[in-house]
Amino acid sequence: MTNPAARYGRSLTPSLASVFATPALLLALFVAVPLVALAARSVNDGEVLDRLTTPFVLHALRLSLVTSTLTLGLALVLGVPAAYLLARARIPGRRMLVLLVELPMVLPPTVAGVALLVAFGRRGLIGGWLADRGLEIPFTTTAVVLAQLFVATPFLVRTLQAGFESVDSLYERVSATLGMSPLRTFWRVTLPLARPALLSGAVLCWTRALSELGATLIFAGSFEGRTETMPLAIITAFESSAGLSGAVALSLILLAVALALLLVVRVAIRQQPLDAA
Amino acid sequence: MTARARWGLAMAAAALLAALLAACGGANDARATPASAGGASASSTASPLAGRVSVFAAASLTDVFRSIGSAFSKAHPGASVEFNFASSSALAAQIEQAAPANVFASADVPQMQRLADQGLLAESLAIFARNLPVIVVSADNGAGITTPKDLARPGLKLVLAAPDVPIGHYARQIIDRLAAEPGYGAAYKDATLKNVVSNEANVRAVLTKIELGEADAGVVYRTDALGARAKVKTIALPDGANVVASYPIAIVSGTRNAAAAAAFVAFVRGAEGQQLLQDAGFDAP
Repeated sequence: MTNPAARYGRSLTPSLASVFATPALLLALFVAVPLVALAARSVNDGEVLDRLTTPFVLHALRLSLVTSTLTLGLALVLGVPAAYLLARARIPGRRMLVLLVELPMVLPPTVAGVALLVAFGRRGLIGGWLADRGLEIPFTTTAVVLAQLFVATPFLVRTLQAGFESVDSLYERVSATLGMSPLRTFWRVTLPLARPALLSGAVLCWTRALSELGATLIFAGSFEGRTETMPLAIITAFESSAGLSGAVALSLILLAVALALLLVVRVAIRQQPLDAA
Repeated sequence: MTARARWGLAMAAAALLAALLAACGGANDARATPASAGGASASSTASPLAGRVSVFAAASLTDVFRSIGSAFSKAHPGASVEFNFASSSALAAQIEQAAPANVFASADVPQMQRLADQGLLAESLAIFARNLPVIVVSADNGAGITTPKDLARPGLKLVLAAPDVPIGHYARQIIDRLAAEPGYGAAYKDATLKNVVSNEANVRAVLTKIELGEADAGVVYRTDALGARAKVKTIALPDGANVVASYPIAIVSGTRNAAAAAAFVAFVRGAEGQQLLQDAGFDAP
């Protein structure tokens, strides 16, 4: 222990631990207290449990689950190839493309909503052309999915891109020498090796879609069963005569769904068979 | 405990304290005590009023209350007004959760009554203005709407505010009344409500959707239609279908800066406030 460098292994020095413990504890409390308050409120307030099974809540829950799952499906179909290209292709303007992918992540969702409206609205750049052909997107469930896709897909693409980048191309070359086609190699070798990134990217994307509010409100409006997803329903409930009880009930469902999802993914990633890669 | 550990603890404690102070400071600003208000006003001899009045006002009052606010600040240089504009139902919900409001101006009586029933008002409500909900279409009126009857046409896109929002409530009252008018029929109500594609959060959101042409028709206040007359057109209602919107105002209970809050309410109800309201298209109470 005389050598100062010996203090730094993978272990934590006691003095650093005591310094860092306080802010870390404060942060943990700050996050935990509101969540505990939400749970406590729902236990004490009998109304909350009654509201869980009202048609209003069930419609919102179903719509949220359906749209966010559709969004994830579309994000996978479009995002997996995009992530692979960004990770491997040496194309001009690659940095610009990465920037383009990252932009919706840092953009306020309300900005996304306005942008979607001027693009796909009835008077929008593309929406006007579509409307002339009888296809109007705003105020439909399609608009909800598009809003979610816009804000959530980048989380899948960026996570997966990093995952593909960390896959050693040696495995792919070996696969090629064994006579596998490039597509089959991608499917059987590359994608399985990037599984943790695929999973966490998919979860980030799905949960981001589930929590989407700002873009949906502006682009899709709010109508029960059609465009009023859980986050919108929380606002409606909060401002209605049901007040806080309704909002707490809905929040509790989203909290439970999010928590369950995190746990499932933790387990799934731990079962990763090719961890050594 | 080592010196470093103590330093870290002190820093964390200081950060927490600063955050708490900032939070308390904000509350104090909104609900300044009469004592501190008196101290601050000592320098300005023109007005005995000081401190900040936090006004929660219906979205339809956005423009006119901003004008009234600056006129009020001119009349009382020591005092200032800060606004929180949203649907009256959203504001009532916020005040129920102890938002630091001093004055509440609602677009309908039920949202104000909801607070009165819970003992959240410091005084009885007073009506300070009236307004008229109207049907609006976008300037180019792409759907060719000429009478309220057209709202029942299948496939039309109608945007209303949510039923708890005053203008959403008024809109549904109008539809009810129209259904009772000669020539409309009982099926009118169902057919019209079936055309509703969105329950917006407040009247301004409804107006924007019509201005943008994303929806064919909506119900807003006459004052909103007046403010956006370049972008929307009003469709006349039969006399029997009109609903009058009454705007109550009251001081919220627990307001410490009561003198300034009362002065603001008096200003809104006084000659200057009423003139500004009428200039914006509101009717006198």
